[in-house]
Amino acid sequence: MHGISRKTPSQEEQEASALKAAELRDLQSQFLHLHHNKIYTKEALETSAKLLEVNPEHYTGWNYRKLAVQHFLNNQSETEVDSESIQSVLNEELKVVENALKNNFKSYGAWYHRKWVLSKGHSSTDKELRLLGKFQKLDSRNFHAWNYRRFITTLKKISDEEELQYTTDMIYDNFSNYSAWHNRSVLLSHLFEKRGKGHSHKESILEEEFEFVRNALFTDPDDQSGWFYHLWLLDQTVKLEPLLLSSWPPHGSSLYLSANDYFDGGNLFPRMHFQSKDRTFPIVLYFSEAVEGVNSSTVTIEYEYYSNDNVIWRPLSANKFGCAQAWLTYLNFPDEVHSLKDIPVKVVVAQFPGIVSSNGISFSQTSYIEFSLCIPSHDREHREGQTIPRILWKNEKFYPHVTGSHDASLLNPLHKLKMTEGKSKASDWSMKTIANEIAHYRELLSSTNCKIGKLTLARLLMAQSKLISYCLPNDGMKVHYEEILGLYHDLMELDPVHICYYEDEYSLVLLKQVTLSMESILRYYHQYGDSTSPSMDSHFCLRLNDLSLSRIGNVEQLLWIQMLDLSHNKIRSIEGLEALQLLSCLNLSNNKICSFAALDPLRMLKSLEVLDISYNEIGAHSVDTRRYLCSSPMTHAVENDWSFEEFANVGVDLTNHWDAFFIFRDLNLIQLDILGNAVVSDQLKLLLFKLMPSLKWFDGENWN
Amino acid sequence: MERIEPSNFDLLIIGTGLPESILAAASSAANKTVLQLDPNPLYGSHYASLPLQDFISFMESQQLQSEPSSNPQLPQTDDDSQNYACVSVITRPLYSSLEINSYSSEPLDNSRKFFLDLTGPRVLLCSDPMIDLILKTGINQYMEFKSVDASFMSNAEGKLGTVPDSRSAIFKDRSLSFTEKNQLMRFFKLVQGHFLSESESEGSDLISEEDLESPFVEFLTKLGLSQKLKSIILYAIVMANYDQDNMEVCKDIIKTKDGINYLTLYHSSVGRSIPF
Repeated sequence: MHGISRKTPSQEEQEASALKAAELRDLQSQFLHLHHNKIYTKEALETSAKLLEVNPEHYTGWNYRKLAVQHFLNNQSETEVDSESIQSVLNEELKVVENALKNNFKSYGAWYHRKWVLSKGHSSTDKELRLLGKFQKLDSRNFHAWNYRRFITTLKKISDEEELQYTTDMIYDNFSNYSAWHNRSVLLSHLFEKRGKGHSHKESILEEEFEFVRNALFTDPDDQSGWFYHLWLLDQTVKLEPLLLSSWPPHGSSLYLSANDYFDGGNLFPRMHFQSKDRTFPIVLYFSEAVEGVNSSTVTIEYEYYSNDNVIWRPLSANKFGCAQAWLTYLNFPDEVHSLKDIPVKVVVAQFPGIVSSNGISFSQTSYIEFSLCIPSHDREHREGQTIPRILWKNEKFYPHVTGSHDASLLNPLHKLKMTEGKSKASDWSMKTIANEIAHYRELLSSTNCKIGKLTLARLLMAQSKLISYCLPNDGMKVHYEEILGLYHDLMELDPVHICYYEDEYSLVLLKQVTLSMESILRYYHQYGDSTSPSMDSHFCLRLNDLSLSRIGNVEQLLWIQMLDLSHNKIRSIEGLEALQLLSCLNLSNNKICSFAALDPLRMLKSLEVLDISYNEIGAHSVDTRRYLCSSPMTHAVENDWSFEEFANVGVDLTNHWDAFFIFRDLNLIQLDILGNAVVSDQLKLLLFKLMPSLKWFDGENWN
Repeated sequence: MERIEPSNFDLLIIGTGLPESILAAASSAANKTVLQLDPNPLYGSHYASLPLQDFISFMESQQLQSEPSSNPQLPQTDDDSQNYACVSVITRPLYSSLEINSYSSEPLDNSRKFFLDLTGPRVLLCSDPMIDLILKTGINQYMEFKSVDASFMSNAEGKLGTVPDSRSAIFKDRSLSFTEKNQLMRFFKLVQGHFLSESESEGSDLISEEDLESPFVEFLTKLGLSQKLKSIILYAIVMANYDQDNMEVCKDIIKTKDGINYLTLYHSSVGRSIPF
């Protein structure tokens, strides 16, 4: 069953199987004739039985037998019911299934047919348990048998406790049994549900289970089945309700809004400036995990220029269930302000229940964000006709951020904002249990070099970091990010087959570590421009370049970033970046982006003006195996208004560039660098200029 | 005294233990006439297993025997003296020193259900080449085997516990710490891996030649196994007869090579059944 390698068939075996195939073909055509003519005689049924015994995978065969039984039952009910003959007909079906299973005990159709017969309710279930005993002895991991066992035990009303003991016995026999561990998790889920709120009960069971599986994991760390069960236990232990982590605009901030880039000098500090031509500004809510149900009834906005009912919240990069970590809406700001006073805005999150995380836990802590708006009374037209300087992503253009300069005072309060009225505390029990598990697996790994053990320890440490984030900040517990990063680094070497996964996890941990405190963020914070004249035109840039990042995430502390350098990483996907709604300059050069479709999140960044995607791998792979990871018109219900005609006369064949079309038609870039990608061609350039008339700088050349 | 007919034999074997019986059966199979004698009132010699009561009375009889007895004078007969030489049979006592203590005068409940091996555990592993010999000579027809259902070991407090001798037994064990479970299983895997790489003749054996020649107990210490684990391996699995930690009294120091050979034999024997 397991661990038996396939042999190449000998000459005789090949001949035998050819003979068998010929017989089977003959049998099959006989059978189909009977089926099509709805012949359900005894002889006809025998033919189908013979066919199914040779080939239990014949679905039509099983369906035919169901029709035959149904035909028989229907004729029965017209006259008087003869339970004895019904039973004999059904017993015949069970016999056919048994014969088929003897041939292939992993036949889906046969097991399903047996279920169907049993659900008719005329057959003994005792016999079924005996049969299962036989099959499970033959192959204790056979999940078909385990599935069927769950079906029979429900039918027989065998208690979950009794079944739990059965899985214990099976595991004692041989703990390398995924199906038995899985059944255990199913049974325990039932028990937790049934016993309802009894928390201490659930906790003591989970503790026992952690110890039980630990016996298996220490005995043979290389056997993966127990580790999967451990993962389930971990999941049960760290079930936390979602939290609102951060927002933009941040709580307590004062926002300076203008319709153009006119900016009234430094005397307005400490204020943040946001400029929007269409006089709207975004509000971003960032949750601790993907949630659904963010709408105008769960989130209310108190703002004198806007009615709450008109607010439409959009998920940013939602999964297929509509859950997203970041939610976005836009508010208008008025043209005319009659007073010089600041306009207060209050966003109350989950005043009414309805926000639910993807694992079904409700957001229950009401939190709010308050900020104020400042709108200049006279917006001057400023930008028209002015030459826009090109952003040069060169090291000499950046110099380290000087702490104590004007905006440090602006940034500090941003990070330390407290929006919730007292956080929901993670239970002491979870904390203790996870700490205990961490201690055990650190000990195991001190003597054993085990891949999945390292992965589990990394996950335990991350779970601990999550729990700590729910605790009050002065609890003084430290997260061991260096240890987690080290574990993922080891895993990349130990298990190169799954390197992409480890790189992604590594990236998320690293980003968490970088954004942990304002001090650590400032270490990556640079000023752009000439060091000689730190003019008010200078930009501030978060430089996360050359950090081996492969994906983006945990950006809750970076929602205010406008200029971001992610060059010289290993980025394959930029999902998660769309939460940075203020982003206007983005450097993605020298990464591993494989297709335009991977740039899809950029379409959500309305402020983006400068983009560098040079020296990536766009177009380098004729078959992009990672494309399925990106949303596209091919995979999703992205709006489908292809307007090919207007491009035909420019001489662009859109069919070759549809993915570029979908990304760039929604962007209004001023500067784009794209050289160093296999996809670049004159046709593509033509298309890009057509799609983005605003383009001034292209691959370093001025197109003004 | 009854006369045995015929009176001429090719071979006279004294004792009915396993080696004697194999010899007798093999000789008989080779068309030799054999007379097998046993001075004891029971079959099996050193290989016998007795119920508790019989065991005690057997030992008491041995106690008497162990006192040096003068060789009985062989009767001189006139007629045969020219053709035959009389040889006196010298049997050594089974036990070198014997001390019998009885903690309870009353027989224990179910004491008839327990059999004790006269000279310590006499286990034949199923994968032992000896089994092939037994099957080949056909002496299995004269012997009775009892399969090992479980093996127990006494701890320092005198409590019996199952010997954690396999993966699932280690998993189930309640007396070992998690780290000990890991160490013991890793040791079993090391031995298994050693023989696997040896059979594939890759030349890179996991256990060095130097270690193979060293005393087994030293090798186990070198691997960092606790005293408890060492006892389990040495006495409950490899069944060393002498205290391996005490070099002075130990008459048979097991080498690593022999230790791991036995362990491999042990593991390959678990779950194997022999059609006797």
